[in-house]
Amino acid sequence: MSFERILNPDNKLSRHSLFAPYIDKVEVRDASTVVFRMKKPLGSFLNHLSHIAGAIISPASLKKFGKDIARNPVGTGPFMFKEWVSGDHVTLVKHAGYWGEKAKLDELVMRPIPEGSARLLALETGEVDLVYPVPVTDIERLKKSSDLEVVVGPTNRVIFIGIKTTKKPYDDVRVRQALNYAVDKKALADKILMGYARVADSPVAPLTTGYSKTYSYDFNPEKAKQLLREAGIVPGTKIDLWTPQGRYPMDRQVAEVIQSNLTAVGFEVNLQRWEWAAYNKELRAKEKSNYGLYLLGSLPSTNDVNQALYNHFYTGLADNFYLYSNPTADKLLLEAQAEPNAGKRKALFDQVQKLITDEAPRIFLFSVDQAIGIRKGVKGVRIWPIELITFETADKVQ
Amino acid sequence: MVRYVLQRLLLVVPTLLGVSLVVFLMVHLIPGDPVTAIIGEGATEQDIAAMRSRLGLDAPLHLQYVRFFGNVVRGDFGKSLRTGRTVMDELRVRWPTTLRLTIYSVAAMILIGVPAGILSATRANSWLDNSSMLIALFGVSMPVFWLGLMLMMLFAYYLPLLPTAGSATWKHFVLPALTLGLSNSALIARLTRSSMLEVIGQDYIRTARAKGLAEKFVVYKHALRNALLPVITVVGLQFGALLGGAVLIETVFSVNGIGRYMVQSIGFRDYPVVQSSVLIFSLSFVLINLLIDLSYAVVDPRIRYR
Repeated sequence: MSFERILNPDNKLSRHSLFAPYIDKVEVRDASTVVFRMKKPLGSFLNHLSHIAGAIISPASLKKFGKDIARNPVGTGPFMFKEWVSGDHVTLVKHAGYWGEKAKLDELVMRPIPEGSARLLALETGEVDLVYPVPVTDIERLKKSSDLEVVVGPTNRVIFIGIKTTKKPYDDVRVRQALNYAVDKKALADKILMGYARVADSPVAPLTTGYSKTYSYDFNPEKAKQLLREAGIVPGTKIDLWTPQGRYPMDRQVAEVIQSNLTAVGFEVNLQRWEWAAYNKELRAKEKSNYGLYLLGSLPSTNDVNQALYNHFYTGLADNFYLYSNPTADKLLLEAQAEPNAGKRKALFDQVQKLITDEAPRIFLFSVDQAIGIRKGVKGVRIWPIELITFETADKVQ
Repeated sequence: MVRYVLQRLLLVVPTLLGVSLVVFLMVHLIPGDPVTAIIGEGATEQDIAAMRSRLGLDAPLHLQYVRFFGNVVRGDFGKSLRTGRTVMDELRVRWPTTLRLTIYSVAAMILIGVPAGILSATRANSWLDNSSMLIALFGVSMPVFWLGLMLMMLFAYYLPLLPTAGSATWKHFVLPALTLGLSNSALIARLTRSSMLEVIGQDYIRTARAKGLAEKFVVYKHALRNALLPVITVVGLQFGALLGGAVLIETVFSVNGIGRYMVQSIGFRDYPVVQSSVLIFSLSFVLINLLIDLSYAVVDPRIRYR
């Protein structure tokens, strides 16, 4: 029923496209076996099933609550939903009848505290036991506290500057490569992200299933200038760099440094800061919009290389704001996606990652870490690279 | 008086019509829409179109307005595009919190501002007057969110007397109310002072003193009452403005009030929430203004409405 619901186009669910292009129908064979009849092979299907949108929902609750199911969730985990006071808190309680290992915590209350300083103060005074996220600028300070612990872990989120490859001067691969050589990514990772980022050596983050290390463009302004000369770009060429504000860790600050890096190799860079909804609309307008270079983050929520690459680099697809189109990449992506053998699939995706790195439709920057702050005594909280925090093994020791 | 009140209430209808049209146009003209605010990575054009259709955003703009206003007249303020709950349910959760914060803040504002103004006026040009006005200047000059964070550091961290964030108990309201009260009391203090000074210079005050009345009767019974009219106006306007939600303070202290909710809704382009909230806020502002005007007649018997 959970999958019939998401596959039904009349329900207009936002993750319909994660399953509908691939699943033809779902059959129940017996009490513990379900068969997915596929329209076409999908090597990363198990990753799609492990996505939050693939979670099983109680059929009784779907019948009872219908479209209000999101406010009254009933799933299959070790906690039960108790209440949701809009804008104030969500409370979960231990599910005593859970089929697996029972949760150690009796109750979990989650509250939004939007102001970063107030959130950290609430942790430091003991009003709350855990906060997320901890800004990179506060991690070292919190680590010095004897009452607190900061748990830092990598994510599979990559931050990059997207390049509209159909717009001059970016339609020349030498220019795109020059942009990569012009940016000091290590300085950005070390000084702006305070060391809580890894310089990109691939279009995807290392923890993404199917990641392949290609190479990083080292910081080489002279090489950048040489490539720009070869491409016929004159010093003083005006370009625009767009960035959101507060959407990603230190996004605006990163863009400001990149502005100065690109200025140093001869561009005149106009930096525009955007509010998120307007920014997203402009990017989705693609050809109709005037963007050229834009800061963006990407996190494949299935944690699979197919999702990280296919929607971004296949001709004409959703997240392909670069307007990148390469028949070789398209062919490789389709082959890789449908390949059931894991080894062959990896080899195909390795080729795609190398091709994308060479073609540079992005200024590849870094993958970022995430940090939670917890009171000493709180144990077993799990943080996942897809920016999820789970509490199935969490406990609070007094 | 009754005719005056009815005339004012009738004016509410065209006022709200105008407000609804202006806010509808403004919020639809902002770049971005609810779909682009909410939709995540990997969303196809079909996903976006499906979401737009589900949210009723594919209808022509004028039809969307007619539908919205028609529903409002029937008491249906629509559903949040983000949560699917009715706007009234969302506001019902937050309204008591904002009302509580407003009342406490206005009380703090009056309790700090009016005595400071009286003290300054009765000891004009003394060190008390100068100190009081300097503190008032400091209060009005400081960014309110900075003041809030500083008070939080002092009373929640260094002297752990009060909580940092939330709105569960009365203690959670002390710091936000004190912040807003301090910040807004500056205006009240200065206004009270200047209004009192003007009244104290009047002949009838000299007469009252000449009659031998004790100074406290002169100040509180005669001078203050006559000096209060402009102060009531400003307090009333501040009350009305705070009812719309003090968004910075609600964000700093995580108070689940209307102000923060409205700003979040603008960010999400949650059209029904923004449109309906502004309408409700406008209505309450108009009614508060009416109450302020009517209160003049109580404070000053010379004022009568026909």
